[in-house]
Amino acid sequence: MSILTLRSLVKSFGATTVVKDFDLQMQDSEFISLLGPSGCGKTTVLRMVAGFETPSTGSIEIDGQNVTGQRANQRKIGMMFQSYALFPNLTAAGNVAFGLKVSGVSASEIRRRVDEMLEMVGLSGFGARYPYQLSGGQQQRVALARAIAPRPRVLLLDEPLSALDAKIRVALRGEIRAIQRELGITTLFVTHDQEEAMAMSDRVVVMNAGRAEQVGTPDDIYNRPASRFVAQFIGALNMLPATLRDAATGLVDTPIGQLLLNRTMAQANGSALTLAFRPESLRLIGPDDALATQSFSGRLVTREFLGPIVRFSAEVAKDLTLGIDCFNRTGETLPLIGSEVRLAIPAQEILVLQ
Amino acid sequence: MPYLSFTFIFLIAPVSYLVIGAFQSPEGNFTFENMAGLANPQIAASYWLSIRLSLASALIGTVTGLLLAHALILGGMPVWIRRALTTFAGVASNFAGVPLAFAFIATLGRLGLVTVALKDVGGLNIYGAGFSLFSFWGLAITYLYFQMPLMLLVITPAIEGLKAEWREAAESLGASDSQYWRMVGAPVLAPSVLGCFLLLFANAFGTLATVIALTGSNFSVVPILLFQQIRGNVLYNPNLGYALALGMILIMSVSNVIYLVLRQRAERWQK
Amino acid sequence: MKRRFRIGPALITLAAALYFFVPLYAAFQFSLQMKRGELSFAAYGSVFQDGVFLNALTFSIIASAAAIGVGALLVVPTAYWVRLRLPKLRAVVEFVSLLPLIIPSVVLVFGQIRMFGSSSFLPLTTSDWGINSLLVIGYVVLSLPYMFRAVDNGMAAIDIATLTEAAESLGASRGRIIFSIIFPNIRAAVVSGAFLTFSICLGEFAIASLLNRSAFGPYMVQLGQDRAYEPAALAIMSFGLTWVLMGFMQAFANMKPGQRLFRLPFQQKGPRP
Repeated sequence: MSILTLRSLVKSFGATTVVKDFDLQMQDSEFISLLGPSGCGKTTVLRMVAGFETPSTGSIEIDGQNVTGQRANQRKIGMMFQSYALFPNLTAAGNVAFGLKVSGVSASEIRRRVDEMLEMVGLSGFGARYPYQLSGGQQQRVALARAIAPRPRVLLLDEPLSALDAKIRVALRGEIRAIQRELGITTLFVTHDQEEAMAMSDRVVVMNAGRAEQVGTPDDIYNRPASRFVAQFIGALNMLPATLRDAATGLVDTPIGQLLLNRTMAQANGSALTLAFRPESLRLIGPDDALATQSFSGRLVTREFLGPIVRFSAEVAKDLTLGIDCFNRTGETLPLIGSEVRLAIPAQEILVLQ
Repeated sequence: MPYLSFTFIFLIAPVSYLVIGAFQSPEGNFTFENMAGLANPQIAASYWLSIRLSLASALIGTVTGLLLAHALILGGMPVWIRRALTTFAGVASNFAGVPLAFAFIATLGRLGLVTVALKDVGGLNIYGAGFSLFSFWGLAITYLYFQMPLMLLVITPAIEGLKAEWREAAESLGASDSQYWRMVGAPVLAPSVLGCFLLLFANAFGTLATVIALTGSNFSVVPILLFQQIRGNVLYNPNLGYALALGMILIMSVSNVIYLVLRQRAERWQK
Repeated sequence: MKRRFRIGPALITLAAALYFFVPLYAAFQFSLQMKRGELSFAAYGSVFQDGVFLNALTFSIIASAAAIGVGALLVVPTAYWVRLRLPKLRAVVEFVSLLPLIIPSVVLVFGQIRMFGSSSFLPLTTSDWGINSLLVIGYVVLSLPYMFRAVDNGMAAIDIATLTEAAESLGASRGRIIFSIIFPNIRAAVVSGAFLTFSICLGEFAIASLLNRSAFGPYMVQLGQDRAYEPAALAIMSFGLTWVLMGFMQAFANMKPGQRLFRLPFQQKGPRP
């Protein structure tokens, strides 16, 4: 049985519908991210699950229980906010203890649990500090401890890492995921950062304009995007207009020459298609490379050294520039700007967009 | 620097002159006599009156201002009402002194609008029952006109500074509305409220113009006493006057310092 | 979460609105009742025709204007210097600017009278000119907290440190910087402080009365003792004036450098076609 079930959730504010017919089923201990651009409705969905917004229609079930009409304080959830939202008049320990105090747990049990939580987030000994005495990362850790102390059924995270510095963000996301795994709490995570979503989640829901465009593992989302939006939103994407020549083999005409897709196409011959492929799918090849037969040439226009990756763009046809990502392997000299190169792409890595 | 010279000559020096003079006899010797003279029943009564009036005015102003602020910000009032009253408060907090007294005479004086209305319509003769605008409570009611707006203006940012996320976080942790207010909301607001109370206290304590316009020189609060003393009407010992002034300075300083400390505390939490 | 309309807060708001509005209405109505049996503006006419009124008002206007001038001249360069060159002095300067809030004006005047009396090193109280100066000085001190805060806020908003560096890198001298860059940009803040000062000083009583000046404050108190209807008229006019002054103060406080208060029809903004 799923821990969290969202059925046909719809939320409208006046004339604007922000969430349209949203469905989701979360299994126990699952970590799911809601990913999408600003305004796509992901935060609204989270707030409906929390109980801070009431769905216009649809239902929410936590642990088999219909909570759609319940206020947040009855749902046994835990929540983390982008701005940490620590209570300024309470110490870190006081904050962590808050949920336990509210539910009437004994003082000794509270003390024990608070110590346990603070240790879990790596802040033992910080209990007596006030929020204004803590850094952003420390505050967010306290917020995490506070949220999970009362053993919530579902953990809801509203862009908790967006306000933090890059390095801390990466460190903290690993810690959050580790703690979540250890405790086995079902978690719903909202973010606009795809790297975060893909790194942390069991499944990702890509949202656009109030709808879920695709629900799948990070691998599915990235390598098998279900729609043009998902393909373009996640990662970088090269796009190529094409005309279908032979539906049986997937032979297409493109501005860079003919390509063989090696698959049966559902469209009719002569129809217009959009092909897409990731920058890392493009290979720079030498003349005797196995892919040399289906290669095309281009002239390198830009070169960005990004550390682990070197990113090129190459002009392959009039007004057509493609992005290429190559691994930075020491010892291998990569071509310079201006040089003519040969590029190829394995047929199975070419996506056909709807 | 001209600013420092100016303030030194015309602000710090005169005040220090008074402070030092408070501990000097007319011949120039050091003495505590003047301070002891403050225990003179008339003067002590005056201080007590001022303190009582200022406390009452500050208390009423704090409570009403807080209620109004809560009603406007958290009570679901439409935004235009809130904006109108806040703008008005900005003007009203400066509308102290003589014109305010006049307006209240026209309202609650013997022939005032409300007095007459209560008598004709409600059958209530408030003056017959012992009320008078030119008394302790009449002054307190009049002071309220600039005290309540001041409280409103100071406490509004504090209430607005109560982040919505705190309430949501508390709710997500299982707290009811009253638990949130008790454990988070009220404690966070407390320094601001207390600080404002002290501000109102100091404000009421130092007021002169309103009292004179309303009750002439008959209502002997400390500013009036000092006023008469400077005029040369009452006491013939200028050094006692200095002691009076010193007493005022002390009371005002203490309350203002505590106010500033509390405000700092509140601002630190609002980060 | 939407909050439903609640009766409690509504009642409180209504009560507050009544409390604020009724005295004004009462004063207004009372001021119209000077002529027995009919409503007229006779009380207002009587006020305006009184020679003493005009004298007192003029006196106070001039005194307030002088206070504004002196105050601005004192505060602006100081605020600039403290921000730019002497940040360590900032705490002192700010503390001093807050002192007048703690020292009641009665006490201040008392000290000044005593200190600058006939036997002192600066006998200001012995001449009319001296006493008037003392009045203006008293007003400057009284308005110091507000003037300083207004100017300081204005300077904070425009980051004068960076502006000064930019100007210096372009070759401007210190004086030129203050006049052509700093002053124009904080003009609105200064004007805002000026309106507040004006409002405070116009009806001021304690200082004017103790210095025996025939300013507007003492005039009003005297009128209150002598007349019945004119004070109510004065109260209404005073309130109206305060409202206008506060309005201007807010408008200037919120103005950005370069913005104009009123847009004239022919002053088009935006790119030329």
